[in-house]
Amino acid sequence: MLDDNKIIDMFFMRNERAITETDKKYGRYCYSIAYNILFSSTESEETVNDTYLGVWNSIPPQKPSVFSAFLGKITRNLSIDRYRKMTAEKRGGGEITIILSELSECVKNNDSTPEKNFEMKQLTETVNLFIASLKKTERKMFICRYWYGDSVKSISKQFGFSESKVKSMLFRTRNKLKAVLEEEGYFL
Amino acid sequence: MNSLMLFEAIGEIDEKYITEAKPVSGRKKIIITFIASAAACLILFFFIPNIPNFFGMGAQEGDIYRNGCHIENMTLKKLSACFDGKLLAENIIGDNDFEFYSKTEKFSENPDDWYSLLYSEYNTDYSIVMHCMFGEEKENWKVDMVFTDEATKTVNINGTLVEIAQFDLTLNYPFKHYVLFQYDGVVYDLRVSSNSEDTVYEILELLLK
Repeated sequence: MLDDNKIIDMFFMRNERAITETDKKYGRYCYSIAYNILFSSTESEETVNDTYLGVWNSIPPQKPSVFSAFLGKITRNLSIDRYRKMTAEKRGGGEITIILSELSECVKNNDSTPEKNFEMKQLTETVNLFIASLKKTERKMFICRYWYGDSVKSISKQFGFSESKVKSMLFRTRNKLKAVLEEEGYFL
Repeated sequence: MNSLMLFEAIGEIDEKYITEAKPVSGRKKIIITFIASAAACLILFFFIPNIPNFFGMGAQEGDIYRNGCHIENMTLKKLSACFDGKLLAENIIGDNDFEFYSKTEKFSENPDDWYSLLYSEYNTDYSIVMHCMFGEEKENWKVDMVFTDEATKTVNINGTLVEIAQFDLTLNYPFKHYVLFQYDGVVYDLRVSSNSEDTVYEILELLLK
């Protein structure tokens, strides 16, 4: 498999082999991110294809420093958009509904629109600072659950902990996040 | 703000944390991991029968074994000693009801870390679980547990004061009595097959010798 920098160079040269090589190296990775959110093979495959189109349209001018994370973010964002559409059509399910239910403990649900964009930017900064403040294991576990959408079972296998320990660690981390969000005024 | 917005915001975190959580494995890493796992299995295959010796307990003739671990001659003080600065191999043996595992890390005083060690023997009349919850307030014992009217009391067993949060639960066979108690900063739960409360205290006396 090709080095990431070589793949990125192909994008810059508008060589379509860049897509093939990306698919070979990261196809499964992107698919699993999408599937954890969408819980549908068809929707996930389409999202992965949209990811490649998104990457083709972004590089150049962008030159990602960490290609896997760049791809993952695009896949994740596209999956969330598709998920929104699916829930509007009353479709979907799977792990994401549990994950959103867990995260709802940290927020006060309020769908007010006018300040949404500004709030989103501020929220992103707050979350970034929160993630940086966590200890390594806590942070890795939190990201596996709430960025990658991994199940508790698969996280317990990855870290070698029991499922109950994973659940209690995630619970404690969510409580810390809730406290941070309350302090920043997201519960008003 | 709703949970989906928060989920989206989490998506925008710094890339270094995304790859830190789950480095994307190449084939070389998978092969190395496979070889290391196979080697670890071979080592454990020869090592597991010797775990009691490793803990400094030793096998005695006539002791009852289950999965290479026995509790006939065990006391609470020895259970504590198992974790005191010792590095142990992490392993899970047995089914959901009777599992034995120990941690690879040094016994931690961090309140966010806890270790659970269950020693059990199917044919004996008790099993004991050691939970090491440093920094946890006593009130946290109440999570998922039902207390009787007696709630917490302190008893003197062989000159040692033990705080007991005692409650009665109808557990699945073979255990009928469940006692949660704290000794020397460590929380244990003791499951006893006998209906008699006296048996619980007899077993505690044996464990606290």
